[in-house]
Amino acid sequence: MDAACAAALALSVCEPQSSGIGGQTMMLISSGEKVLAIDGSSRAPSLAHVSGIYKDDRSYGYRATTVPSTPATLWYVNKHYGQLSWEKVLEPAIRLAEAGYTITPLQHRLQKQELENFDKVESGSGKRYFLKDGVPYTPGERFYQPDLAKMLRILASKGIEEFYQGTIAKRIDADMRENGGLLRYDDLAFIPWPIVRKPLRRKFRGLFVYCMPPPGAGRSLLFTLMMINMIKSKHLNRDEFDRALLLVEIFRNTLLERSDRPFDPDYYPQVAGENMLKRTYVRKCIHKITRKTQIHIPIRGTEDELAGETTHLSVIDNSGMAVSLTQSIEKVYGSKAAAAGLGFLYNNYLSDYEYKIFSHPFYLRPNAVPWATVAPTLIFRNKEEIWLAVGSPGSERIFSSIAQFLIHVVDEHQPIDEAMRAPRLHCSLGGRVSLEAERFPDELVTFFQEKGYRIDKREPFSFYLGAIHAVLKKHNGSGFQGVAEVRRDGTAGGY
Amino acid sequence: MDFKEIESKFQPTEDSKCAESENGMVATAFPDATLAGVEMLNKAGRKRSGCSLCCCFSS
Repeated sequence: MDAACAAALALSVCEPQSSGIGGQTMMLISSGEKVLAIDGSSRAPSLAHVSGIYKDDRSYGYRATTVPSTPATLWYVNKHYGQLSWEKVLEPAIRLAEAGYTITPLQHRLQKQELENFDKVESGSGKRYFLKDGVPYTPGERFYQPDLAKMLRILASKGIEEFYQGTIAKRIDADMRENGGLLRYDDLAFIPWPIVRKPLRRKFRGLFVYCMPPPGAGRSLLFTLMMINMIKSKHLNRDEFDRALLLVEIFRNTLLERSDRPFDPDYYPQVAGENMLKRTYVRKCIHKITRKTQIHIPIRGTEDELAGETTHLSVIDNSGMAVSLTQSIEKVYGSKAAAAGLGFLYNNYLSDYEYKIFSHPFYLRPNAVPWATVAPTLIFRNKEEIWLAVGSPGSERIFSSIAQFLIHVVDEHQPIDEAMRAPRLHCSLGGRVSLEAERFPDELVTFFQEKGYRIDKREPFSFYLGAIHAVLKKHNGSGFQGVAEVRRDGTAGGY
Repeated sequence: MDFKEIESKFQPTEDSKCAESENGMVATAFPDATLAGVEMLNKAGRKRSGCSLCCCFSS
């Protein structure tokens, strides 16, 4: 747990494009005895009413942010499940903020990509903190964050209450008032403590898969895996094109289920949250697709293609503790507005609420939680023995990336390094197939085009198509294996 | 499922994208964050060994 907390806090410093102190964190924890889902959702501020949020407010600037819950969530799990003190787990993050880290080519590219959006924030705070004199840092340059380091030192010495009810909260309140934001001291003072939930669990090819319940998106991954589970693996691997078409239709069906069955566990009355995971229902869905692999959901451009970014980390230690943690500030570099004097980016989670349907469980209202796409996952060989901790960033591509990785490992018996590198594709509900085009046969692209799908050609090893970070506890012999996505900057390491 | 086949084909890499270890493993999206995690695995591991030693002595 301490390793996961320290790594999550360090990522808040050295991967600011994906997550940070201003965001939210969800995770699955296994203590060796039971598995818990930690729902660290952020909350909408009291002033966030649908009538007061313009469409542009949801993506950029101070008005787009919810109450940051990452500090409360990490503090909570450290306090309840960690062995080391809060000060100790904060040490590496403080060190990184003070001593700096080296900007990577990916970070340079993302800064370049987001330049225009940084400019949309009138105060220029995000640009001031995260760009170099208004332009992207060059790969290889050192990036220092002294204000963030100071704030983290305060968190270490005075505790988390300082962020939500102390001087930091007051500074955030003042910053928001000065820049027309909605977040107030009172919103922070509620403290968005995480909620400990029962994880979802389903079997996949004999393995026990635990996943994040709503408002996370573990249902999407499990629904996909259950459908695949109902197809014999030898049939799934018979023909490359049929298999790709089947996967694409399964992904679309999953996205349809997700949008049709929104479920907030704290909002009533609703259809029971697990209905979409009933075997009889899943069987019906997969039969509809496989009777004759055909397109039964109309193909059209929709707004369902969610954009957003996230980070994921996985840890297993030799005491049997396993953590699968996903955290985010929503879009790349979040709202592009940074907290003055504190050096972290506000999130733009206000883009993840429903704004039209009043009865929707994720309709924007004060203190409501956003609708998340994260699916941190733990996989057990039987009811007790952990085998794999896995997850991915990538908004609505999270479930499809993890599902493809698991198919490669479980059905094709690929080692986790090979499965992580394997070419990926995704299909939006509206029928847009995104794929690492050069890594698939040209004929497959033509095949999809002829079926009527819209094609979105991505580069080989595309940043867009998720990022697997997985740790495996060996069943044969002792020890661990770890992989960090080749499509991103990360690494795996142990001792 | 053939766990042996899956696990035995694993190839660690020099760039640490793929790694093996004996006592615990961390995989994150940034090298410094992975190091932070490994540092804590080490510290927590030492603390646990210390505790079990204490238990041994006290019993």
